[in-house]
Amino acid sequence: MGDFFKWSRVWEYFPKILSKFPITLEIVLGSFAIGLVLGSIIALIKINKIPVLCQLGSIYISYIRGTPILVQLFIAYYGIPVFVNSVLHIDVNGWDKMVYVYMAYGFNQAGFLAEIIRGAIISVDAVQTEAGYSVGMTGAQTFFRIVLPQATRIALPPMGTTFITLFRSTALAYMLGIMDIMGKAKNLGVTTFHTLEGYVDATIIFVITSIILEQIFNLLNKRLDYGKGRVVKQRKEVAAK
Amino acid sequence: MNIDYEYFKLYLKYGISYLPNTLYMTLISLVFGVVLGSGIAIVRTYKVKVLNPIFTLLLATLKAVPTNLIMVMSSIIFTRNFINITKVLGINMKLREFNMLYLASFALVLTSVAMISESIRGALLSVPKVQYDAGYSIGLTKTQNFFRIILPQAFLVMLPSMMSNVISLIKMTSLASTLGVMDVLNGCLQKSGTSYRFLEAYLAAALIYWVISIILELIGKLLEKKLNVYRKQAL
Repeated sequence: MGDFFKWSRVWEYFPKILSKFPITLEIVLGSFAIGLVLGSIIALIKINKIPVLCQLGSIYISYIRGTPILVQLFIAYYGIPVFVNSVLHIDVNGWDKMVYVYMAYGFNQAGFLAEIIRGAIISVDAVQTEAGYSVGMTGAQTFFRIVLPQATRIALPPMGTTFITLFRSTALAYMLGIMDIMGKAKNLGVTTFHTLEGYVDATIIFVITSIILEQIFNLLNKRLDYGKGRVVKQRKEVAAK
Repeated sequence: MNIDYEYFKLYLKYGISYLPNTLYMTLISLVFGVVLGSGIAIVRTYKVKVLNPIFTLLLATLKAVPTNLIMVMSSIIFTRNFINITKVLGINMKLREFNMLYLASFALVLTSVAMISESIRGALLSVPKVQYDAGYSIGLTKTQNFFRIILPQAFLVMLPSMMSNVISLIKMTSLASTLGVMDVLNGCLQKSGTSYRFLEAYLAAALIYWVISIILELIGKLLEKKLNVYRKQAL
């Protein structure tokens, strides 16, 4: 009983578990990138209201938001091989498990990011587009030079939140047998019969990384203010006078 | 595509029969989340001394730790100390007889408190300062002012985020299946081991969760519409 939990073991396991941190980071960054690309496509489809595709996009977003990531993970794991085998006729036996993890988390992020991107682009005032046209810009020029920079600024805070949520939800990837932080913690527990210490290490890593990520996003939000804060400050000064 | 619809239907039936457990866990975590969460939110909004920094630190930790990690750790500690706990409480019970559902709910409550208190705090902060002044100017006490003026307004702001919190909670209960709780997910999976029809089982589970989420979303929208009447009158 006295041997149940020891801080010395927590320190002993920490470097071993931390060494698997890059894999967790890889999953997060890879699937966020997939989500960003796919999500942008879905958002553009929904904004331009392309028939059929637009409705499919809505159903997809509803599915992603309505089902647990745990279920999505296993549907990707069992479903993608079936789909690829029967529709595309490609042998999936050699595929790494990481492929399914990327796909599951990437598709999940796509659903959430699509709504954020769509909301941000819509929230940019129509006057801005008209202003672009009035100085003779084409549609694409107006979008990329005027609408997109403003939308990016609006989308940044919610994107930060989803990014941190994604980081937390990668704690489920070990269920497919991925050796990330959680997988290593569990593995150490199996071989040494002391599981709790490993999980404590994982908790420490998750908490510290989340706090760092939050600070980074806060800093980004402040940095990318594009003078908005300054204008408010000036106005306040004027009002004070 | 070789998906067996017979198995899919069968697993769907199994899954639905365990729906009460999932809803029960959601309800527990929602009730405790609202009760504890509103307390924490009030402390943090009105910056109560000493308690405020403690709760801020606690919430930052709870928000950062994955729910399944909390679940696994609490289950290890609980099962290890089960005999001591029963001795202290004076109950004669074996670990086998204990329903892991309550342990899973405990872990869910920890996450839901963090989630719900954040949305309550956001709603409370959204009420402009002028409203407090207005209440005090006509001689309301602090409590009267809070319950009669601030809370009704904050409630309208809170509603959409609360609805999405409930949906997140329902989805989160699926993590309880890792502890062996018979919820919707485990209900769907329980017979898939013999048939190796895992995809059908997970698809069935996904469908159940999806339908519940859609229903809840509709209810939320309906409520919002009904309650927005008050807001329009105010304008």
